[in-house]
Amino acid sequence: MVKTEIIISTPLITGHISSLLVIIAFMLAVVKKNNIRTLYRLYIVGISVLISEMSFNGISLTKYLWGVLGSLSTTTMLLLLCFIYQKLFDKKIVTNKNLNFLMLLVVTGAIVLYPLSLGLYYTDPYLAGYGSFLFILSLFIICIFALNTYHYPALLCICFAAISYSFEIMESRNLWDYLIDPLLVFFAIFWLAKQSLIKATAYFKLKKQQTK
Amino acid sequence: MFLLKKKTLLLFFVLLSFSLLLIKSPKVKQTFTFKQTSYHIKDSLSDEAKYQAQFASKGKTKLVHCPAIIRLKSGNLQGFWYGGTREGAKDVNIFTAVFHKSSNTWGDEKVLVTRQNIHEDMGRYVKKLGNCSVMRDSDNNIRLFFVSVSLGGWSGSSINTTISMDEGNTWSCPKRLISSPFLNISTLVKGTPFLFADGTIGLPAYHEFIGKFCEILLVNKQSEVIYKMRLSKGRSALQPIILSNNSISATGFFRNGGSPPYKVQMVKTTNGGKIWSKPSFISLANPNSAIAGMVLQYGNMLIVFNNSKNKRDNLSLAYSTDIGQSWHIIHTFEDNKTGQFDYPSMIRDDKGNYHLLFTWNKTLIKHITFNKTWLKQKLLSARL
Repeated sequence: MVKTEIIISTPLITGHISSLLVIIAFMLAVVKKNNIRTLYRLYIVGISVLISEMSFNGISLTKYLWGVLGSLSTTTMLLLLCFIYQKLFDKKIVTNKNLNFLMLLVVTGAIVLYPLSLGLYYTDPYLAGYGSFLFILSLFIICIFALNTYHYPALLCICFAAISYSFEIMESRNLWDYLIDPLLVFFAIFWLAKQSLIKATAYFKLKKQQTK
Repeated sequence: MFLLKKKTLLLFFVLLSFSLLLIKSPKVKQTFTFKQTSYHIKDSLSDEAKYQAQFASKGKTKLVHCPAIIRLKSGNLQGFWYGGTREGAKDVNIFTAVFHKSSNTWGDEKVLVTRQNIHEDMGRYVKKLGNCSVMRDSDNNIRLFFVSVSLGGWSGSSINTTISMDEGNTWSCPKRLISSPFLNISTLVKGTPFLFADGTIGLPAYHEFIGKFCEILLVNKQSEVIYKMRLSKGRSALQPIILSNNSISATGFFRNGGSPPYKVQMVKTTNGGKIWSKPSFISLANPNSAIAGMVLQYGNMLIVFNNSKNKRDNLSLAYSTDIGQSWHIIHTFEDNKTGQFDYPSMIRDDKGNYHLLFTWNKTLIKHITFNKTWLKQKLLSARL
């Protein structure tokens, strides 16, 4: 009884692109060899695209991922693009210092957003994403701070999220959904933990050498 | 020099993107008013008391659950529910059937939404289908809201909506509502949606992922969630129903999904929903089961609920004359120790008859009709 005319909308396209980026990034991450030529890596991208459109039980992998993950935030999509570029051309776009700052912002945002929006109290910070001026002002201040401290990737992520939100490229009408998503938060926690561990190990090594 | 140029360019980019954001972001609503329900229904007390029970579903599927009902322009009624081999099974579809007022019978049930529909229409994977609720929007179209799950159990639910512009004959491609920042999971519906004065839909929704709490989602004509109202916190409230008394006052009732006392919870607003009171318990029992309700003339209220602390074997009707503060049980629809009668949904038709649909032993959808004279008699015998 339901009409089956599919509306090809921008959110539908964005949703499928975000799922496709996850698949390509996953495939490139799985191939650990660093000495393979760019051309072969491009083949991997091609294979990823083919796999993503292959039908399993009547449904493609991108549709499956979109169903499960929904639309990923603009920040995640930008970071996936950076990761794919880095894997393809062996060039790092985002430095560790810049990524640390960005991930710190993501984790801070998640701490503010998730516990309360999942029902911890009556206050819901997710409401701020529905056009709150104070929220927009806070993001602007973060951007100016990032500009002055040369944390350009964080600045670009916020600005691209703002532009994407303005043009409604995703299903959501909430700005939070353009800034962060749980997948990004899990990665941010993992990244910050890894960086802290590296720093701690280096510190204790140095201290050990000094006492010797 | 290059760095300075880069910085200037980036500053320009920041200003540009935030200007766009300020221009395009929606203005947050400051005032809310509920749309007034019309009571201009012709019914006279000289009518004979009418009470009739029949089944709306025909037993095509092993399980049926969570009915919703709406009045059509023709005066007929249309019911919706989900059915399959068991709750959460992959063969669960959403069914619909029409109640013909001329013959006083239900027509054949038809499949309305399947998982395959969603795969094809929405371009996304869906594992199972669930609860539905239905309403008439400000454009006089019928809107069906239904739950789908892509990952995990009911806590992984999302809400979808589909619209019919021709009184339930054809339906638009479903659209998923984005209502939660956490992978958009854990939002479900049960209670009947209502309208705000500006045409925005108020969709009573609830979460059951980490917290079990209630909200009202404000949905615009494009089926986008544009705001929310938090009604409760923690892990104890589910399946809200909202009954508005006038343009600024409303009362919300919740299924108690937490710890004792096993009673219905209530919240109130006197400013169109901007601020809601903290939940309190009312005298009606609630064995962790859904309720249905309705506001009558002069703010009197009816609630259909399971009058038991731990079982759904009794389905009763309660009446309040003081906006939900005190309740009087006036009738018992079902009472059978081995039965299960739950998930009620209730409306009033154009003749003033009350129609109640509920899940009967999870195998059939039962339809009970009664009129105002019958209700008046019940109130008189309860000395109300």
